[in-house]
Amino acid sequence: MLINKRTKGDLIVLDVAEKRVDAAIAPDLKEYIAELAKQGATKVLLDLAAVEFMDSSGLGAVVAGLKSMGGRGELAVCNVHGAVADLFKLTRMDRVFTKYATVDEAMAAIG
Amino acid sequence: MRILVVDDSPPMRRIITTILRKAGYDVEEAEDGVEAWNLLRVNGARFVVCDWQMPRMDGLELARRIREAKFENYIYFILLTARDQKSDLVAGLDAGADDFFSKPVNKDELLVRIRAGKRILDLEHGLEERNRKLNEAHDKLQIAYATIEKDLQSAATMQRALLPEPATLGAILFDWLYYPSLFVAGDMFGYYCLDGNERYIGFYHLDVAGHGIPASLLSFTLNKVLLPSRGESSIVSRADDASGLGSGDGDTFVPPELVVAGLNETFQGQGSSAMQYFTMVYGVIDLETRRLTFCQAGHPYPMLLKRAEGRVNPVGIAGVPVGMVPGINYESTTQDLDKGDRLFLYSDGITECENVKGEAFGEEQLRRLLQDGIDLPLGEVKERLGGALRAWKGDDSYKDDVTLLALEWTGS
Repeated sequence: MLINKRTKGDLIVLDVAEKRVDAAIAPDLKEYIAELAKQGATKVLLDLAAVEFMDSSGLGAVVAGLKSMGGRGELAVCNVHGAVADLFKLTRMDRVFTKYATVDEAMAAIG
Repeated sequence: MRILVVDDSPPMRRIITTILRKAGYDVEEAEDGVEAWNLLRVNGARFVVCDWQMPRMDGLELARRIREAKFENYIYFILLTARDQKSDLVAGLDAGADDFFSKPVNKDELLVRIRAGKRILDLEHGLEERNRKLNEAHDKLQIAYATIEKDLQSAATMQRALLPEPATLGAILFDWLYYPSLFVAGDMFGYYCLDGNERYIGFYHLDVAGHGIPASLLSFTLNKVLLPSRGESSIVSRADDASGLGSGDGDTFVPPELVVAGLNETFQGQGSSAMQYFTMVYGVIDLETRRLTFCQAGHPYPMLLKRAEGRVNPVGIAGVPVGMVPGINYESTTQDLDKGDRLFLYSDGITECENVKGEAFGEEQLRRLLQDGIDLPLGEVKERLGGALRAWKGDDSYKDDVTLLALEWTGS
């Protein structure tokens, strides 16, 4: 799994550099976020600009990541587009986590 | 290590045998190829020092026989020769000799060649040992695989037995397609009368995230949980009339959005494991008022055929999948059904089914196919969809479970 991690203040931006987030990488993604949470991260932004497709396992991993942040942490997403945007709409992910249009917008709101 | 010394000359045998015994080797003697061959077959020496020319069977012939016999362990073969011509060397190698040693015998050279041979035998022995262990492991794996496959097949048979037969309940005809991806499926569906008066029909279609064994285990459980239990309360029906929505004679149904919300609280993943959840549509049809009410949780939008409009359209209100996060409120959609109206519930295994170019079958292709079948019997529409998917995929080994549940108002 390819993830580029940047830190801006106390916001950790994870650029998911994968076209498909499916069963093949879902467990790794879940572990990655859980590890950040364990290290004390409280604000994580998933940049999904590169992601064209996400299946049910991938969605499960993102939500599991959010849950591993616990009550004190925040996991947001940005650059959600195409089939992933459709999936988020169908599954009402707006009720589960905050979605920003761009990294800058997320920075302004939670950075 | 035991060495077999083969030579028809007793003095020569004595010289070689003495050198080897002094160096600590266990030595056996044979006076020609025939005797050596008989000894090799019973005592299993792995090292042979053999003269070339002997009566009855010479060294070349003995080497050839040893190689052809394919002994379980490799036999290292040194050919003793007075000759040093290239053509002899070639003939010896060709027969299967590993090394040559020329007479007269030089003690140091003989021992060096024996040690070189022993190194090769030791390597060989290590490889044999490894191969034996690999073969053992391979056999065990094959047995385990066969057992798992057999278990999976019986699980698949049990799962199929849970599926209801195509049936007509009141005015509603139900039919379906079911192609599990790995023997067993994470997809499940069902339909039944919810009350004693046979006024309310309940139905569902669900898709557990992932597929294979873990997903199918949850689908088995859900199949049981979603059954109405006559005279007792279950997640879909109540024994009393507390909801005020029932028929008044005892059993009554739980509104779809509450069924889904109830499942959502019951099936929250343990700890932070939100990896196991499911998407579903649960619905109820009131046969008296013709009213269809359903709740959709992360599942693809059902396709509704309104015969009067001549069109198939996706319907529903999107909702969060079940078991992902607690405390979600769900909403239901209602539709009135007229004669010939149809509702299709399906899993994303259909719309995300990819052809060889990696293109998804897609919602629009599905919608058009269902719409084109407007004047065909429901069973035929279903078969056409099955055929179209197989043709799209190129074979019938699906990456995800492919299931469709269809219902039609067949009453007046």
